[in-house]
Amino acid sequence: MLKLANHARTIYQWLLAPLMLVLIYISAMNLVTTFFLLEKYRHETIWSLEHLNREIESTIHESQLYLAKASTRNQLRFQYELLWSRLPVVQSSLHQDPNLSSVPGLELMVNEVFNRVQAMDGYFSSEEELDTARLIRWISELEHDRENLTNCLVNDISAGNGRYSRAAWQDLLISMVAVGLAILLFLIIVSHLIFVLLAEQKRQRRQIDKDSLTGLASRDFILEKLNAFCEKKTDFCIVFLDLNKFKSINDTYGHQAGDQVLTYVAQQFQASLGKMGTIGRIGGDEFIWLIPSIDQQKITAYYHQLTQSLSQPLQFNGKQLPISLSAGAVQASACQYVPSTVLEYGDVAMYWAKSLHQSTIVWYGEIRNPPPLPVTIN
Amino acid sequence: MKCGKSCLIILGLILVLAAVGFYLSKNLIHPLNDSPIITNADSSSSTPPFPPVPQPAGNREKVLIVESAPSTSCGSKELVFSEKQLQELPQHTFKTRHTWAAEAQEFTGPLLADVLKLICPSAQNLYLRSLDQYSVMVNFKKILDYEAILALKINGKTLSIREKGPLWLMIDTDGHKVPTRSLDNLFVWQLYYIRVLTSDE
Repeated sequence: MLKLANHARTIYQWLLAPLMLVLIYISAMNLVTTFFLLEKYRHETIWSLEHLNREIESTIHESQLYLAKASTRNQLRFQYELLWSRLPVVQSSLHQDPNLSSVPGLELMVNEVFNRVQAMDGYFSSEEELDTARLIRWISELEHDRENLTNCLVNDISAGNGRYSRAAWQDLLISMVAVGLAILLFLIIVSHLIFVLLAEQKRQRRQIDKDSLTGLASRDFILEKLNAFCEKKTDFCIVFLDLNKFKSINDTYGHQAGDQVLTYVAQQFQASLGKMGTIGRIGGDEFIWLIPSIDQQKITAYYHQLTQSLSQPLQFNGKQLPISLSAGAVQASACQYVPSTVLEYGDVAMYWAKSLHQSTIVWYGEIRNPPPLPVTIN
Repeated sequence: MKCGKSCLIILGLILVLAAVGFYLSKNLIHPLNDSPIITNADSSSSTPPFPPVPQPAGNREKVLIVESAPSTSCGSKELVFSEKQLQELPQHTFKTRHTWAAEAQEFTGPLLADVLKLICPSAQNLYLRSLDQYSVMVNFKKILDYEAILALKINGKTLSIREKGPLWLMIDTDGHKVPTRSLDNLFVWQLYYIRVLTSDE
C-alpha cells in the first residue's frame, strides 16, 4: 500500500507536469486548427452562396434574353442545368458547416429555391412551346430569392457581428478556454510541486538544526551560530554546562534513565535559560548556552533560577536521581573572537568548576592560575 | 541524480506522451495543408484565352476542348473530344469520399494523363476551365502521382450537367491518403476546356 502511494507520488512529481505540457500543446493546436477550419468553412460558405447567386442571376438574364427572342431554348435549358448543379453544393456546405445552422431560415431558404428550380424541370425538358407568363412569374420569384440570399450573405454571414460570426467566435472561445485551463492546471501543479519542495527543505533544515533527543539546538547549529557571532565581532558570552556524575547514572540505572535525565534537564534549560540566548547539546552530557549579552549579573541570576529548579531530584521508576551541574563561562571579547579559543576557555572554566565542585558559574577571567589545558574541544 | 526503475518507466512514459502529442497534432494539422499543388502562385498572370462553350450548349459531341499554347514545345494544337472518344480511352474506376457528398462515390473515366498524351506529353502547367466559369491553374507534374481522371460516370451512371458533368476532374483521395479538403480547388466539375500553358522542354 505504501509502495503504491510512493509510486503515485513519483508519477505525480515527474509525469503530471509533462502531461500538462502535452495537454497545453494539444489544446493550442486545437485552437489553431479550429481557427483555420472556421476560416475555411466561412470561405466555402460565402463562395458557394455567391456562386449560387451568380447562377440565379445568369438564369434570370438568360430567360430575359429568351423572352426577347435573343437566345435559344437550348441555351436557356443549359443555364437551368448549371443553376441546378449549384444547389446541391450549397446544401452540402450547409450540412458541413455547423455554424450555418445558427443563421435562421437559411437552410429553409435554400431548400425553397431548390424546390422552385426543381418544379420547373418538366417545363424545361418538354419540347412544347414555353408558357411565357409562367417563365416571367418564375423569374420574379428567383429575383426575390436572390435578394433574400444576398441579404443573408451580407447581414448574417459576412458581417463581423452577424449571427454566423458570433457562432464561430463561440467555437473559438471554447478552444481558447481549453488552452487557458490547460495552462492554469499546469501552473497549479508546478506551484504545488514547488510548495512541496520548499516544505521538504524546511523539514530537513529543522532536522539538522535540532538535537533529536532533547529538542535543543544541535551541535552544528550552535557552533555555526558561535562562528557567526565571532565573525561579526558582537560581544557575547558562552556557558559550558556539564552534568555531574552522569556516567554513573547511566551505569547504575541504565541508558533509559540517562536519556530521561537528559530530556528533563533540557526541559529545565529551555524553561529558565531559554529566555536569554540559545542552548545546544554538543556532546553526551555537555551543553553550551550561548548568550548574546555580556551582562554577567543577569546570566548569574538565570543560572540561579536553573539550579533552583534542578534542586529537586528527578523521580525515575521510584528512584531518586540527583542532578547537579558544573558551569564554566567565558566572554568572547576576552578571546579576541577566535571561536576555538572561546570554546577552549569555556571548557577550561567548566572543568575548573567541576574540580572545585562549585555550584555557581566559574568565569574564565576569575581563574587565578589557569592550569595547563586539560582537554581541548574539537 | 539517482535514477531507478520508476525513473526509467517515467522517462519511457514521457516519450510515449510526446509521441502521442505529436500524433494527435499531426491529425489536427491536416486541414492546414492548404492546396500545396495548385499553382495559382503566379496569379499576376492574366487569364489565358479560352474558347466559348461549344454550341449547342450541353451537347455530347463536343465535350472537351484541349489546346496547347503556341509557346509550348508541342506547338499550337487543338483537339476536340466527344464523350464517345473519351469513353474509348482506357477507363479507370475508384470509389472515394469527397467534400460534396456525405458518402463515398464511384467515379469512372480516362486518366487526365492519357488525354494530355494525345496533345502534349510533356505538359506542365495547365489551365482548366468549367462551364460555370470556374477556372484554375495546375502544375500537372505535381499531381501526376495522384492519377487524376476525367470522370464521365458517377456510380456507374453518366454525369449530367446538373450532377456536375459532363466531366469532373477527380482524384482517388482515399486511396492516395490526400488530407481532407486539401485539393478541393483542383476538382473542377463541368470541365470543358484544358489549355497546356507550359511544357517541360
